[in-house]
Amino acid sequence: MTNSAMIQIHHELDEAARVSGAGTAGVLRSVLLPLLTPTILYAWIWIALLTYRELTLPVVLATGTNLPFSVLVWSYVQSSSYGRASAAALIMLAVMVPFLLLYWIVARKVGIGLALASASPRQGLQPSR
Amino acid sequence: MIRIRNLRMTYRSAHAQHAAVNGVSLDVEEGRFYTLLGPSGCGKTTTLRCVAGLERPDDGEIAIGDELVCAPERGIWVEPHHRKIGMVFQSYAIWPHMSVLDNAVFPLRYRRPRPSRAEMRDRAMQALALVRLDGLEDRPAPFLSGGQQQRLALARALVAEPRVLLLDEPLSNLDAKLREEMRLELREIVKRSKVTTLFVTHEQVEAITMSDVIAVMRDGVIVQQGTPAEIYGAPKQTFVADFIGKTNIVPGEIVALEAAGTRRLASIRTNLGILRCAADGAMREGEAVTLTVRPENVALIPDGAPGEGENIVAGTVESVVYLGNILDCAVAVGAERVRVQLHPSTCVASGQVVRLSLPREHCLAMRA
Repeated sequence: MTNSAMIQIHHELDEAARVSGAGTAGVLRSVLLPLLTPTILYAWIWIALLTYRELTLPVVLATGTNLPFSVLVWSYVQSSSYGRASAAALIMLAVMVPFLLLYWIVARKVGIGLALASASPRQGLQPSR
Repeated sequence: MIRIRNLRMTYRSAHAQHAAVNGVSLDVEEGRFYTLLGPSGCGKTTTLRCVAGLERPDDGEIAIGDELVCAPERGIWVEPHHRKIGMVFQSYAIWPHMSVLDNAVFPLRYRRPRPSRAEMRDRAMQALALVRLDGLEDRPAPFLSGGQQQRLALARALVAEPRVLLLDEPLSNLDAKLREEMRLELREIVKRSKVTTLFVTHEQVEAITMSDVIAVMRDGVIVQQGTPAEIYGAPKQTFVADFIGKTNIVPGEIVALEAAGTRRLASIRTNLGILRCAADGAMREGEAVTLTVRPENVALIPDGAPGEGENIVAGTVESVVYLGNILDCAVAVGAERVRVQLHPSTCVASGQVVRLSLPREHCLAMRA
């Protein structure tokens, strides 16, 4: 996902930074990272969501004092406490909402720039060498 | 000042290798506007990118100002961000996540010693004023038109007062009318800032109107270098004559040579008949040569005027195209076809038999 986003960034964007005086760290910090932010954030939230609802491994690893949400919900279901299971699942959902909102705001702000960057005026034309 | 000596660069892939630059040497004097002109794939962009440090040549030397920035044999290599250059790319490469001002300030942030914030802002505003973008400094960069992005790219390249300015086909993404305006404006701005400029283009009009010196490239080498007037008026190869503007190319053979003052005059047998023009010192009788004459230098002889004389041929008009400022005609003379540009008021129609004069001073003989 991040790799394809890197390909979308026109190579002249980072070359322009290099001839303007920025070293590798400068190019990364000033040009590549800001342009990749929405993609990185998206990838992070996607992985976080996957991890958050993961059940198999937490069931094996869970102890009495360290109980992940997914295992808690599962144990309520096991003991036929469906009301409590539903309540716990709702709390799980509520925890995720702020992250989704954050993603939405950042993606809107930076995404416009990124979309315009990849739709640069030159398409399908290679510089003559 | 830019000095390049014997630059070579080969692109290698698994199956093949291609010598993009094959021994280029050139000197750009301080403050000059120097153009590399040639068709796609002639190595002009690669040469420019070697000067920028974005490509690593295999061999040769590049010096910017007094500093040797690239000499593979001696192990010298200066990274692009240490070369103190400015560059405008074909795609402009304006950073879309920054404002216009942030784009223009960027090169100053990496200058050592680093200027104060206020000074950086002042200098960036001056650069923006130079390209007439003052007033737009707070606008997000993607909300600029093509021409404005182009001017911003130029401001960014000039803001840190680079030792050289490199322009990689900066006008090729603009529409025809804007390109013409920008051509003059670009030249004006560059001249005002007195920066040494290396310009790459495949457009002969841009090269002729903007340059102090033009180098025509082909297959990785410079085939001719000179002022625009020299390149247009006295091309040394048919390739140059043909690439810069339209020209009639007629193959022939020297049948006689005679001395005419300090120069020598050749009589050349061609499909148009015997044509006479100046020969260069090394040409011999019996040698195969190519004769070129520009369409605008061919004259139509009015009816009733004396019909015989030097370099006069008769033919039939094949086509007449009205282009507004000129009449572009094709005249069949035997098996050859001669293109002629005439004043639009000239009375000529296709099918008409006409006589053409190819003045001796405008005919150029070159080795075939």
